[in-house]
Amino acid sequence: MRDERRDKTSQRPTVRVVYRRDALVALREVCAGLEEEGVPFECEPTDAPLLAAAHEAAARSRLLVGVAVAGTEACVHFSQLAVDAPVLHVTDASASMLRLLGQDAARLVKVMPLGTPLSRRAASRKSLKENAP
Amino acid sequence: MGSLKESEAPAARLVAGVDIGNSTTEACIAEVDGQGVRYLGGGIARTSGIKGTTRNVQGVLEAVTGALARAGRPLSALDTVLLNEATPVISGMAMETLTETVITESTMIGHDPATPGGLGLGVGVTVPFSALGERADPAPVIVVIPGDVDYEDAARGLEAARARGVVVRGAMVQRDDARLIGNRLGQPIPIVDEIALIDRVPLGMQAAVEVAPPGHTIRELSNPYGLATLFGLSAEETRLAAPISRALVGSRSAVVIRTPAGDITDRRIPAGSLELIGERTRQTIDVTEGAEAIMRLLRRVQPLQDAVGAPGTNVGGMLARVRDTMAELTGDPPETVHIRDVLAVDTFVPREVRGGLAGEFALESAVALAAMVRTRHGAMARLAEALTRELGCDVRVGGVEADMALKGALTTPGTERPVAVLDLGGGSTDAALINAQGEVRTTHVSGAGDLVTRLIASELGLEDEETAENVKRYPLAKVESLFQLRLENGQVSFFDSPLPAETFARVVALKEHGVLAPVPCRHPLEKIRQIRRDAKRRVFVVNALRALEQVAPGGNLRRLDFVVLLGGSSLDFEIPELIAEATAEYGIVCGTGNVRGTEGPRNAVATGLVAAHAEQSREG
Repeated sequence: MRDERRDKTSQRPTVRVVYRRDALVALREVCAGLEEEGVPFECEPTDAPLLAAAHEAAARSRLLVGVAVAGTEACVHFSQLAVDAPVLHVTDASASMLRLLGQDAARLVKVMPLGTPLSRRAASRKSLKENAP
Repeated sequence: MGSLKESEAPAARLVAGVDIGNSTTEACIAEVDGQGVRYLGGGIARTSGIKGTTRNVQGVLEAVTGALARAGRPLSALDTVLLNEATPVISGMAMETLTETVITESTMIGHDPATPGGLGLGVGVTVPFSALGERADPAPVIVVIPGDVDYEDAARGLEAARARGVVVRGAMVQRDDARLIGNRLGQPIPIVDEIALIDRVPLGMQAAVEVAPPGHTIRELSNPYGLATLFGLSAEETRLAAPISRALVGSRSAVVIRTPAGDITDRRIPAGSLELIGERTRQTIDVTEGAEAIMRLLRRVQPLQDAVGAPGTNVGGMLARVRDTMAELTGDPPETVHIRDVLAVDTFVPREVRGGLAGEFALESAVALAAMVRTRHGAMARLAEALTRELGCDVRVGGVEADMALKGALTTPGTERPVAVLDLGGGSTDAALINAQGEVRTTHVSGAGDLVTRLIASELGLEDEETAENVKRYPLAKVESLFQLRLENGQVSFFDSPLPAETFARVVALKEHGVLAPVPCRHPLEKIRQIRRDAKRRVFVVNALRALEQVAPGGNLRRLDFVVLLGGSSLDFEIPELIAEATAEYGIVCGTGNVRGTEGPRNAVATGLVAAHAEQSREG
């Protein structure tokens, strides 16, 4: 019965948000960011490690974007990226940083420029020189 | 070795032709003997210091050693260095805004937040959120919500006030919370957010908030009669309010507050007049008449002896700045510096509106002036001495730059006399014509690549010059996903690994080796492209025609057949085609030069110096 409903909801185009149960404060901000940008999302709890959880959420999202929240740490992932190379990964994030991260997850869907400052982004970016067209 | 008599066949000597330009120094290495020239290689370096000064030694060394390395020869083998008598002109530029938008008493919030909330139009009296509780007045209100109020508390507060009978018609919010609040209200109201200076919003005043439906822009606040209807304005008041509605055209949301003395003005700054002094006549023109009028007048006054601006006006200050900079560079007293050419270009500058509450921008019109002065001769001799000390070889100064450029250009396959060259540089655009008899006419006009960069930077509101330089030099692309981008010609490129997040959904300049340089501005790609091409057209096309007209027989462009484009800006991916398009109208064959069949539009003067030297040694 519950599984059936879950299957039904996963048909909707949404950003999937997964959270540790101790991260409800952070979750509120991330969701507020998504809502302000007007992108539909669904939330569910998880116990998996942050990056893997975010990647798995992205893989299940019809919009290909997943967010994982744990305490003051959060991660935005895109289904076609490697697990250890997320789009955004912030630690020690303030409420406004988390709000911005939620907005950026939405902007990833809307194809709009991201707002999270460069210094707070994942550092695992390869030089573009390697993959010139 | 030594078995041949020197008078019959002198040994081959290694010579270097060196061309010091405003921005680059180019060298050409060749072996010269009695029979002819063998070109061995070219080199290029950034010009050190102002051209024609002894500080150039560093750049010359760099270019020469680079060229020698390419030729596989040591510095010690160098016999002679040939320097050209550099074009005795230096260019400078200045820009001045002509209009200023000022909002007094915060009458309008015309900014366009990305995500306003709710929908429709609401009119009421501005009331702070904290005062909602005690409000009993039945008059409709617009609630002003500061940043320290959480969105859920704000929504609850608004609902509670409504339940008590307060007529809430709209809200202004400091944080980016408009949708969050709107989603939590039973009945939607228009909400505009991201109002940075919300504490400056006048309270107890009539205000209107409008949010357009998706895909639309606002209708009432951008219509002067809409404003008149909402605020009950008289005809005279409507006339005064018209600039407000005009400023709001195209917005998705807006707020207008009516205050007793509130106003928005589009002030014209008195720019002053420009006096152009020719050989026979002097003419004065008001700068606000625009670039075209100034350039028309300049043609009548030509040849220009000097240009001055009325003291105490913007243009006066502008020309004085150019003169002072030139005086500083050349070491001449400012009163002896004469401006020998000007190029005026109409432009616009996005400026933050004075008195705005949300960092609103307005496009102010401006005029850019490039000015050119002639410098004193003689500095080359000092430079030659310094170079001799440094290199320990013979250094000769000779050859007029334009003659050398023509000689170099004529090594381009498919060219013969008569031919004209256009040297598109950084500071000035130079033209020279050689006719069938070998007579040469030359001219220099001010304005070139540096002015284009300046126009792009100011019109896009870019802060650093490097970004503007990127926009000028490289094609644009829009990053459409983490793995693909669309180039400005519609082509799509795919990448194996993800593009950097900071370029996501942004317009980027596509540099060499696939490096993407983001262009930090809110304009769409098409707009940036248009600004770029317009800037190039307004400088290079205007200057190409102007310069060619000055060297063409009888000033008639139709009497020119072949034009070869030279100089750094000829390497640009679209400037040559823009000029070719404009000159085609006159039946001119115009294309980018290919010096010695290998160097492209570079190295013409350096090559010409060597060629001239070889001719001399053959004759002598």
